[in-house]
Amino acid sequence: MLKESRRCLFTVWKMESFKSKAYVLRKDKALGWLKSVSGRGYSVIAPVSEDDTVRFKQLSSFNEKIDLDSPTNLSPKTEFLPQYSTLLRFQDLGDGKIKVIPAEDSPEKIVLFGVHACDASAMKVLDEHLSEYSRDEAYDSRRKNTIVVGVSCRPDAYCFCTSLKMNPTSKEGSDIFLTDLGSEADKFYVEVLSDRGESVIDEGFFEKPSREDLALKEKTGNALYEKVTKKFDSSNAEKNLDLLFDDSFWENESRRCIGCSICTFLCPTCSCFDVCDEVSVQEGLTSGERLKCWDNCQQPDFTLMAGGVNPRKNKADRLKQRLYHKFNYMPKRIKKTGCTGCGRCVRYCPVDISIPEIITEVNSKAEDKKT
Amino acid sequence: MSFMEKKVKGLQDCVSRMFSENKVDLIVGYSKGSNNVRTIPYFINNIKDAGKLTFNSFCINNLTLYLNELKDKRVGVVVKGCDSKHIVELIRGNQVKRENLQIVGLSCGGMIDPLKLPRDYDPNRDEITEDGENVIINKTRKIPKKNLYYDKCVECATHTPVVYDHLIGDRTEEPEEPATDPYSKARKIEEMALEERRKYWVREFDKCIRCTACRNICALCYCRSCALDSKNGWVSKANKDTEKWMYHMIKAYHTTVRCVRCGECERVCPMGVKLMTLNRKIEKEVKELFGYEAGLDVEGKSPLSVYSVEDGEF
Repeated sequence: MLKESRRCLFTVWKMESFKSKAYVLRKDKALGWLKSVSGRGYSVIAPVSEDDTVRFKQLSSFNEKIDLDSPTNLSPKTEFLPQYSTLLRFQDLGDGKIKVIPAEDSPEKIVLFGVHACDASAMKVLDEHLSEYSRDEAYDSRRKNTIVVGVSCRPDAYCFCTSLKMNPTSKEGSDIFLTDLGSEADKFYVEVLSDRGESVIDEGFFEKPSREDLALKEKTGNALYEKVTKKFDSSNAEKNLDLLFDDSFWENESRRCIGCSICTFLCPTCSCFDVCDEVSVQEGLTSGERLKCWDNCQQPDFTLMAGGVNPRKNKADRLKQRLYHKFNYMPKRIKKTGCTGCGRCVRYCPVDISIPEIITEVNSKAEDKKT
Repeated sequence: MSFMEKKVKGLQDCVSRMFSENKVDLIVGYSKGSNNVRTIPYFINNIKDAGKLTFNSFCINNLTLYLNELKDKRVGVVVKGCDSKHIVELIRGNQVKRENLQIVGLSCGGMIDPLKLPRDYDPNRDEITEDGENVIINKTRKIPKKNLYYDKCVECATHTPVVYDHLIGDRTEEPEEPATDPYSKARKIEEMALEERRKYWVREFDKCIRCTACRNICALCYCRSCALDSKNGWVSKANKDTEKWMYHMIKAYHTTVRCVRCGECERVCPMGVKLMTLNRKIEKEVKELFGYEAGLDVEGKSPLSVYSVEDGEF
């Protein structure tokens, strides 16, 4: 009951009731549109290629080198769940009095441009996950103030969205979705999917789509689907994982893991955090701030408790936790898989631990167990 | 049999012999990865798994990383030239027992960086093989290897392992000097004015997300309790700019006289931070001050632990 009432609070960005509209946006007008959006008071954040990375950055000169094709190193979750943020500040005033200053709500309006389908879907997973038991007010505030403009991508060998009931032109999670119709057509097919998306459409930059545009959009979507060549069967993952909880398979698979944080820090659906206080003492008076910062279940001490108990002391247990959380616990609790196939965990894993490989092996071992 | 198939057969035979002669409890080698341009570190403890081990120009991981958790076991490990220098340093640092190790060495002309391959092929579906000079895609398309190697391979001067019990295949002809100056990137930074240098590193470290992969992948980062673990209080999880500088500076200094430039730290960084440039600078200073290079001499004393009147400062 309680869970249902919490879900109702998300109608502010539910899109089913909105009748979607279509336009085309010529590529040579795209920057002009973004500039005008910026002129209306929005911060425009887009994937910028610099210093050997592609990262989401706020556009200032609008001459930045925007890369819409490549997967970004960091997922756009960093715009809603930054690596660290201040929860509150405190100041010892002396005489036994302490002043507590809560962190300010950021009222900044944002247009997050160039989000790939996998990352936009992942935000919907985070929305559900972060409202299961309590609310993250800073996250809610940022989500409420951000308009997501999705864009079609260039899949690489590590993407696997199509094995998770998705594809590179899935519109879930986007307020506006742009399909890149290629360098010959030199334009985007634009689908407006929500009121918020509609509010930043400027008819001065957009045109009505033709039948040819629509046909090309369909053709492009199909071609992109075929470009994702890493495939595996995820349809029975939840049930098969139920059968393998105590299997020694996890020992072998985790043996080579080096226990860094790459998979979880880059994952668009991971949201675990730690809270720490940073203090300084000046003239005998303490002041400081309480910070919320990224933490992750792949660290050996993540589940270390007072008294020295650590339920996930072994790497096998930690790898199991990551896979089960995404493919077993989340499907059970929020009816969504906690993975949208962005491929970052595989692309950047120093020792090539791969979700498609693991689930394939899980399927095979579960079959053996059943017979 | 192609030259690479010969190497793989030689490797598998050697591994099988080590089990049948009861010389090892466990072997760490390479096996096929999630696509055709990747391999993974693979652990076998049984002769029947010997056939799962492979070797090719995509075996970039340094397997000696796993040795110090296996200190009391009899372990066989597959090493390339760069990896073997780590074993020298692990012996020097008392982290492995030489008598428990069976080192299977292979010379290599270099490892291929998959990111340097052209974009228009599919690592998931295309067949990738190689001959001495080329990577061959789908049996017909040849791409010369020499443009595809990792930078560290082009700068390498130890293509043949410096320590081994078994050598599979031939020794590689060692050039007098490496093909490229290994300190060229460090020299570029040295040419910058101080403020420009600071700006360069601020931009690099800005990218860092403190995933600690660079530390975890380093075979020479074997401290049981690391100063850079946030639980020890020197750096917090909050990854502010000061934390990033402290993390990287401390880690770089800890590589002094030990780093053998295997390049793994820079390879694994998901944000492309130029870690090798920093490590090379320190290595260059050590070479210029003490005439010393890590990873080559099991016996001699480290220049940081001896005092000599000839040391440049005096």
